[in-house]
Amino acid sequence: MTDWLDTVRTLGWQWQLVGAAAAGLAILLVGNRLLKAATWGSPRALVETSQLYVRLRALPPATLFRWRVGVGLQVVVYDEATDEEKEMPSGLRPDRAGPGLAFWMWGERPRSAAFVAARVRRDFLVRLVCFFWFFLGGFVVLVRLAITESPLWLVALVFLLVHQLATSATGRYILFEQPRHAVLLAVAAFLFLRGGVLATVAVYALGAYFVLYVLGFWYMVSSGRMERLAVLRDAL
Amino acid sequence: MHNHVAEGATVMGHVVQAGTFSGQVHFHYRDQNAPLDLLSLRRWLDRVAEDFRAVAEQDRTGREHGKRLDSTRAVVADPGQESRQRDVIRRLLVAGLCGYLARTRDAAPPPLPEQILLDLVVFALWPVVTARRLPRDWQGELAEITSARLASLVAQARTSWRSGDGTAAETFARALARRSLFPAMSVLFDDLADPRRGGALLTSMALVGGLPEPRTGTARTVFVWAVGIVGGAAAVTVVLDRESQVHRLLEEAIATLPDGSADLDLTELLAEFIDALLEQGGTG
Repeated sequence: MTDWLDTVRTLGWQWQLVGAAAAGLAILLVGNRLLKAATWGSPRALVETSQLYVRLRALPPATLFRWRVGVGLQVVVYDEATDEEKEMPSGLRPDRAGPGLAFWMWGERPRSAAFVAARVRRDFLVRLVCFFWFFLGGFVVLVRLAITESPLWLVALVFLLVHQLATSATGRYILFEQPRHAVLLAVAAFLFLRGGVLATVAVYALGAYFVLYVLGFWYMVSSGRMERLAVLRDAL
Repeated sequence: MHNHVAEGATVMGHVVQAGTFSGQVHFHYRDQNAPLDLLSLRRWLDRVAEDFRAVAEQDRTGREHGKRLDSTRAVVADPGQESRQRDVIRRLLVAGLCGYLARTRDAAPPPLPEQILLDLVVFALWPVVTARRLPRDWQGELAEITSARLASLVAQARTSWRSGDGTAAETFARALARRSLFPAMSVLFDDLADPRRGGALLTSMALVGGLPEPRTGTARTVFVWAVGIVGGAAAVTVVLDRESQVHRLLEEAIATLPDGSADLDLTELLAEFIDALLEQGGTG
């Protein structure tokens, strides 16, 4: 890594500026997707998906699920006592940004609890892959880079740790797809490419900003008002 | 009015049902009228398979029908076999339905369309009731192509049948007749009208069984096809008569079918693809 970095640092500041702008954008786009993939495979996601699978398998075998346009996923249960088929809200809301969303889109035809459980199992398997590749893989790679390349990677490691803690605590995706973050990243990348003390300062400052951003998001989402809003949003 | 079916007796009585069947409904399912259990169904399938191979398995279409027939025979031979779990219940229903249609098409038609509907459902479901072993999720599979209530009733009938109840068929028929079967029937015939679900299987089994080719496309056409084979033109006239109760209840049930139920489920393809990958990974 040092070779190409030394080469870039010998270039003129104009080239470094262009490179930093491109790097800022690339880090934002790729980083967001990696964070999302790590969140898909987070322990909380795995536990919730497996719990849902267990709940579905425990339902009466003739239970049906069907999508109603504008209503959501309904459950149809036969009540022997009244000899009626009751259709009611299932209370299940698939993760709209999750890796297994496609498994939930089976059309309007009623499907059995076993069918839905099989789809949830596939969702779990995809998340398990994400756990090994992105969640666990992310930590392992960052630790390795911090040991073998530069202690500056510890900043990224701390950020990932705080990010995943906040994600697990709130149950929300925490992403950074905003233009100002691209600008911040580009500025930090430019200072990093310039080298010297500024490079270290830029990395620490950027890390501190994103860690504080995550902590702020965590605090805001955990407030009582936001929790009430989340309940209202989920009810829609 | 209370109906009681004594052992071996034929009961012709006035029956009060929950808005579905009313009038002289016949609950005698013994001897010649007994629905085909798995063994009888297997014998019938073996016989028609032999006849079919002798005359019609020369061309490509005939071979496709033959393949579907063979897979259905395999399911009927052992519905509980793990490796053949896919479509087990659908195959049993279609085999039971075609077995019934093939047997009754030359017999005198039942006097009431309600009787035909009840017989269709009883005969179609009886192989499921009498199967010794079924896949683990059979109730869900049956509920998907009929209704949750019907799947529960079949589960009760299976318990009754396995306990050695000789009147299980009559009890089952009476339980069915007390309820509105049109929602479940419309879902079933909708499934059988779709070539990507039960339609292709129904066509193959009908042709192999010497029945006229079903007109797939909508639940209504398959329903009329089945009623026509059993009851002839008179029954079809009643079913198509806009003033008749049967027509009204059928149309009401068909109107509740989900839109686009025949659309290709792309997620099914995706799920199958992932399953294949996982299986490959497991065996590799």
